[in-house]
Amino acid sequence: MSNLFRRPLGAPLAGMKRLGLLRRWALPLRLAPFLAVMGPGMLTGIVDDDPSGITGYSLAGVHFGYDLLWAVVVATVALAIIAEIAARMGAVTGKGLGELIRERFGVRITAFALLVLFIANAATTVSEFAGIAGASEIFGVSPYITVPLAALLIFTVVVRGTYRRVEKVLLIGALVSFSYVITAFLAGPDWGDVARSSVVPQFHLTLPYLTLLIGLIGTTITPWQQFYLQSSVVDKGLGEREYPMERIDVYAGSAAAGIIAFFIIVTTAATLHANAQPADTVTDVGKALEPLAGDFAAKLFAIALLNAGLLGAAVLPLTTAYAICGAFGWERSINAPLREAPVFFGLFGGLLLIGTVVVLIPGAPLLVLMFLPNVVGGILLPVILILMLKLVTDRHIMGDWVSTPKGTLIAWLVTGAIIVVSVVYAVIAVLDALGLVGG
Amino acid sequence: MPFLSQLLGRPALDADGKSIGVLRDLLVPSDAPYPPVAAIVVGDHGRLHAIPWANVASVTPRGTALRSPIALERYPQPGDDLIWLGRDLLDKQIVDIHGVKLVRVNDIALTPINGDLRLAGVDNTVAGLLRRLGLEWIARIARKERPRLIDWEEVDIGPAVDEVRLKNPFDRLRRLPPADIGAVLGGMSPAEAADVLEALPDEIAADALAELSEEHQAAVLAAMEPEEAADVLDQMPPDEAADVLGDVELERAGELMRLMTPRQALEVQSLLIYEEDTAGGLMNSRIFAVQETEIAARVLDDLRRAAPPEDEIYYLYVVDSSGRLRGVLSLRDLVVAPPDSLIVDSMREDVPFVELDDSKEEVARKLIHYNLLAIPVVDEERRLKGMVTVNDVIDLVAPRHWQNRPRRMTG
Repeated sequence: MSNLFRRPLGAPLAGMKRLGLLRRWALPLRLAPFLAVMGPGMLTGIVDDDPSGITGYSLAGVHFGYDLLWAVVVATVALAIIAEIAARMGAVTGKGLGELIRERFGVRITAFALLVLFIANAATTVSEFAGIAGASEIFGVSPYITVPLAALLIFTVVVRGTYRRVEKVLLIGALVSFSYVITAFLAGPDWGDVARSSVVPQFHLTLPYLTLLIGLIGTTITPWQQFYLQSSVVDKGLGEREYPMERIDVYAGSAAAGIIAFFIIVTTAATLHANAQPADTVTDVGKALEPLAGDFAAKLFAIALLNAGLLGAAVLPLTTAYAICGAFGWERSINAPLREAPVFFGLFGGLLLIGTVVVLIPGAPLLVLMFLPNVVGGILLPVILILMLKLVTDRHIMGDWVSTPKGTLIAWLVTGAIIVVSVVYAVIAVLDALGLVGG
Repeated sequence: MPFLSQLLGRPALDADGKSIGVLRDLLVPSDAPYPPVAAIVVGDHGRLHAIPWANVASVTPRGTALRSPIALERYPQPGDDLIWLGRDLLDKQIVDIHGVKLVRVNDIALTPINGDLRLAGVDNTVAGLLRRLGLEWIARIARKERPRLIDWEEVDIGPAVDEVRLKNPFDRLRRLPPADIGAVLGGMSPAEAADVLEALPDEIAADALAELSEEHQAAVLAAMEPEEAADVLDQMPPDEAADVLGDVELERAGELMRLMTPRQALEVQSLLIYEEDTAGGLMNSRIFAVQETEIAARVLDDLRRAAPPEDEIYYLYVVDSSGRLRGVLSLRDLVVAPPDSLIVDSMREDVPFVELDDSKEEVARKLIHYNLLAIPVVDEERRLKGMVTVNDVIDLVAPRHWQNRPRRMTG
């Protein structure tokens, strides 16, 4: 009897218009196929290449040619290792990172960790708006119009609950970043040089080099990423069963972020650095795309910047507000009416306001504002990493999914390396400020 | 009234005033009303010892005093049969039954009664957070009234404590109306909500799941054990089960349908052919239809046996021998009709209906226009296929912010 019922289920399922994947396929046909297969890991990887990322990688290429390529390779591997931990914690515990920190470490450490997150994210939010302002300058529109407009747009879209749809459009727009991959080939770099620099570290113990190095690490691996990724895994209901697939998604996302970063450096190194062109303004940096876009290069760059800026300016404040409210037990659904989630929307709106105001200070150096959060993030990152590692090695929390001794060792080595770079950077920066070493 | 955060970490002294360690935790039984502390946990050089309450003279913010000289090593490592207030509850999420929401435990209030130290309530206020941060003076300056505690008898600690350690997990939560359970689940992550639903009886779980938003439902279902999820789906009206499954990934939906009872799976399958947000996709196809040639008394008997859900019992749709919609009979019409009269004599023929392909908006408009609680759905030959109730289109009828919301970062 039951067999009779079982048989038809296989085939007719295909004819059912309402079953998830089919319907989910209908949308991509109109938009783009990759959205259907994109998981939290790929999403996070794409958002990773925000204006601060684009600027960080560009400046690395402009000033040191291929010399920092090895760092991108190493940072990408490190990103994959760390992102895997965040995703695994989400899948195993069903809780966000902020909540886990609160439940395991109590109020004081949570308050400290989230203060760190807030500072890093506020700086990054500023950089997202700086990206929007930079793009708007290239298009010849005053940032005093576009930046407040962008903030208002993001706030409205989120409060009205239509953020999901807008996010999809922005994610597709993020494909513009791939123009760097094409440009890199058109620019005709010395591929032998590129390959060599990717594996052989080139060190300079100078402040600019260290600044760009820590900035590069700080933009590739960020505190917000771990919170965002873990929450996305949790919100999708992905569990231990789905985790093997999710791990692939996370590695693919990290790889995608790394590949774009890699080619941004190759492109800027092969164009701006090779021709010794200056990169003092946002427009200058955009000229790297000339082999592909010619006179349109700066505008293409502006489009990438605007898109990435809008995406980041929504994601960063959202992630921050979400993590803080989760850890402290305050209402935090973006579908809630404003007055029912005052802290959530207060933090969200507050960060948008900070971003807008800082960028609009007359004479604000946009390029610096886009780059600075990378350094702030890089220095603050170890705080979050250490807490993550303590959580993921806790058998009470992770059960059988606790990190293996080997995995733990690797993760601690990554964290240790980042701390060393931060400390060396801080020392050199102080010495430099005292005039003891030449910049 | 001391708070847990003011007690933990303070020195523990024996009767001679000798320090034996530090107070690490308080243990209470899970099932007593306002449970008294049954044992204290004293930590000494990283080792934990459980000392029964009988040996404790007092626990105050200044420290813990014991009744007699104590050889700590005589007391065992504490077990898991009691609730650890600090480890299990502090900083965790529990349910505020009265406020119908998930709250985070910022602190726990205890009160000394007749030599016992009893659990009084839970502090989820900002003042509680500030106390933990050592910034209580800020709260004192800003405070206008005494901080309000959530009474211990009005919380359900189910979400915080591993369910095997509770005698009746979620015993307070499950007594709430399904809509309220849904509201609480809405504040949880899919995995947390799945844990709750798996612990609840299937019928209650089904009603509660139906209260969640579509996307949240799909995520919760994905997070549940497949067998448990199928059991819950079996208990849902087929149209709601179809709605839920429609948002689940294809492979998983197939797996769940194979685990459901064949009858329910078939019903759901027949609904899934219709587009979502059309009358066909919204309707319940398992309805009580009446033949026009029946007599009232028999229909009433049949109705009693079939016991349709409460929102579908008010209208009885009348069909002819080939299943075509002929008219409608209200429950009142049926009850007041002479027992041996023919249905066709008491029914009204001018019955509003919608067709399978009609949009959700169209369905809602007709329900409102004709002031109905439900409307029949027919195919192109006017054969009765099912009915849509006002509940199925509530999201078009009621303001968005009245509906249960998922706790999500996005959308």
